[in-house]
Amino acid sequence: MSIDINAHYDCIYKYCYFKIKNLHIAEDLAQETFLKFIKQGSYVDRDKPLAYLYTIAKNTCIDYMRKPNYAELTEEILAENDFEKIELKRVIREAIDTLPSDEQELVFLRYVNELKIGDIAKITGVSRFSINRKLKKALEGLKLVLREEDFFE
Amino acid sequence: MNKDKKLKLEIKSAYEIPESNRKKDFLINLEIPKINFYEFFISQIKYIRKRIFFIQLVVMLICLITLLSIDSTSLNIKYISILPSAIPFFVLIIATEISRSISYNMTELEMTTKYSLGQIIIVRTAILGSVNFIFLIFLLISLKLKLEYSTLILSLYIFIPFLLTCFGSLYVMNYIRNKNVNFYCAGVSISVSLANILLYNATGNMYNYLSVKFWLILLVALIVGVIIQAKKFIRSTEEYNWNSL
Amino acid sequence: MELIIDRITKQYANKIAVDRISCSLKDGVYALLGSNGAGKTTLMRMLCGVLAPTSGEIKLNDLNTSDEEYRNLLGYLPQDFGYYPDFTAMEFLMYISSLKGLDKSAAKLRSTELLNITSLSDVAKKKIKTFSGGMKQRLGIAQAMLNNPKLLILDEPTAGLDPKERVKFRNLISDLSKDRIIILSTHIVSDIEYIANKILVMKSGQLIHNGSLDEIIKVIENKIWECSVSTSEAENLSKMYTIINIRHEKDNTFLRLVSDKSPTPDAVKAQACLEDLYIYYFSDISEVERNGK
Repeated sequence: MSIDINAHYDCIYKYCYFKIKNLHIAEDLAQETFLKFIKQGSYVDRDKPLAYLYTIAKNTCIDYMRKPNYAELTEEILAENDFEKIELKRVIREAIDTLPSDEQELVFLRYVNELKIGDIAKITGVSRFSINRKLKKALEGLKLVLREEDFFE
Repeated sequence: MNKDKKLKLEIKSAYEIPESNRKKDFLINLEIPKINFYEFFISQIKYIRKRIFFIQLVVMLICLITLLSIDSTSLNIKYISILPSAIPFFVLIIATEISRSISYNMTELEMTTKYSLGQIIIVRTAILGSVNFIFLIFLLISLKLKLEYSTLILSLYIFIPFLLTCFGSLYVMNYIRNKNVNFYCAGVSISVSLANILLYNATGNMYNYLSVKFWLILLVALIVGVIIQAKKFIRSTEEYNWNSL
Repeated sequence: MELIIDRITKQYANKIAVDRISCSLKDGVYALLGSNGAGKTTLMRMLCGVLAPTSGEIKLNDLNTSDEEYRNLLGYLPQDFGYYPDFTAMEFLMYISSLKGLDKSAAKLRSTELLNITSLSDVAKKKIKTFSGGMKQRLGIAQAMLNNPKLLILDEPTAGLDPKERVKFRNLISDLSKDRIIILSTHIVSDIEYIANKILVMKSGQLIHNGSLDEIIKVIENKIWECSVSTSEAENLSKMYTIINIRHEKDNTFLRLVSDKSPTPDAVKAQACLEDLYIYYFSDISEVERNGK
């Protein structure tokens, strides 16, 4: 059972950012995820290391959000100099936030971290068929929301 | 570009984050959980070359087959009694494996790890020694089935050459501190083996020739000698005093 | 992390290899500079617990070299290390990991990472016997880092590396230098200028200098001269001063040398560099020159 930490670091980092919306804390949580993953090493189901990794990440984020002094933080501006691009990204993220949470997660895993449907199925426990269906629905939903913002001209 | 594709690309870039400058340090400084001595012991089993076990098994099987296919006429007892002459080579094989660190110039590095050289050698010896011991017991039982001698005499047959070779090999390893140590150990094994054969040819059954008491004293002396040399050897692994040729 | 070396001596029947060395090291990269036979390897072996000192003490945060916990914090690259034949790079790292007491699956992750960091990923499954000198050295550094040591000791790690590999190595050391003590020995001067924070200069078993590059160079500051003279004049000067560089040109000879005062009327003062210091210390003529004056 082996995961290339180097390869997955950025993806887990992004995933935590997706949940927590603070870059520094997201990275802390990502590092915590890897440390937990390593500690559990020998006892884990050999088939699904990736699913296990994401599960730990998810739980780590949830635990963090449960902390008493947790407050929804405002989004940080991501590395980008172009003001229009910043706007566009913000718009898209807000659009995604309007989706039901399970669809949000699928959209993220599929289009941001570009995981295979099979892996996503292992991570979320949802069937491949359902995933494809929900993704389609999510995209339609996004298109609807974004049309209002003149996304597609 | 169709709408879907554009959307997907924009979704991806919406979550782009700046490159982390903590990543490299994190990867370099990753702390790893440790194992205990028992787990270490088990982990070393796979680093003992399989062929060692295989060779020992083959030699033992040959001995056993020889034994079983010969009937107990007095003529054939001579052949059977040659079998213990194979025992020094069991020891040689083990000695070669134990001294691998020396042969391949790994001693310096292995002295600086958590489970250091002395422990590594003890573990290897324990693993190989246990297996070897089991083989020797098998031989003893097989001999018992075929020969009329007492268990005591048969044990002497087996353990005296064994301990004598062990003693000789350890003495050599304590004295010869370079990569040629295996050649000298081979010399010891060949000598003991030859001595066994020659003495046997000369005296018929040397263990009955001299009094049992003599052999028992020798046995105890050898055990003590082996323990002393073994201790000396282990203690010597704490200091770097090998010459790499 | 603090490594305290207190009057460490190693005496053999006919010679003193290390002579009462004392110093105290904190986080950073230390270069141990000295010619062959200066006692560098002996000192390093004592720091690793491979040799016992004849007298003196070594302590890492109150730990003795014989403590298991000391070895837990230690990573060592010997000058010449072997490997069991047929080991691939990955297998070697996994073996050393088992000796360092690291959990197996975590060790796999760590080994993969270290092969990445030392640019050996694409040869992870290749046998070590097919490796070049530089690759073997990098593998040596990888194994030393497996347990994330707080004390990293590298004995002549750049010997036998070509210039390109040396640059790779330097960058690697820079990456590793945070939060640990790295001691590397070398007689290659250019390594030090780029990597080390502090330099320990050893000669005949003694520590003759301990400081940053600037501090150490002070010894020969204002004493480096360059001049162009006739060949016969050059011969004279060679007998009187420590010559750092001599170059024969068409009509005359160019000299770079060490002297308290200007050796010839038109000699020009030059900026001292580490190579000058090395030759000043490790050239036999310097003994004669200093005694004779």
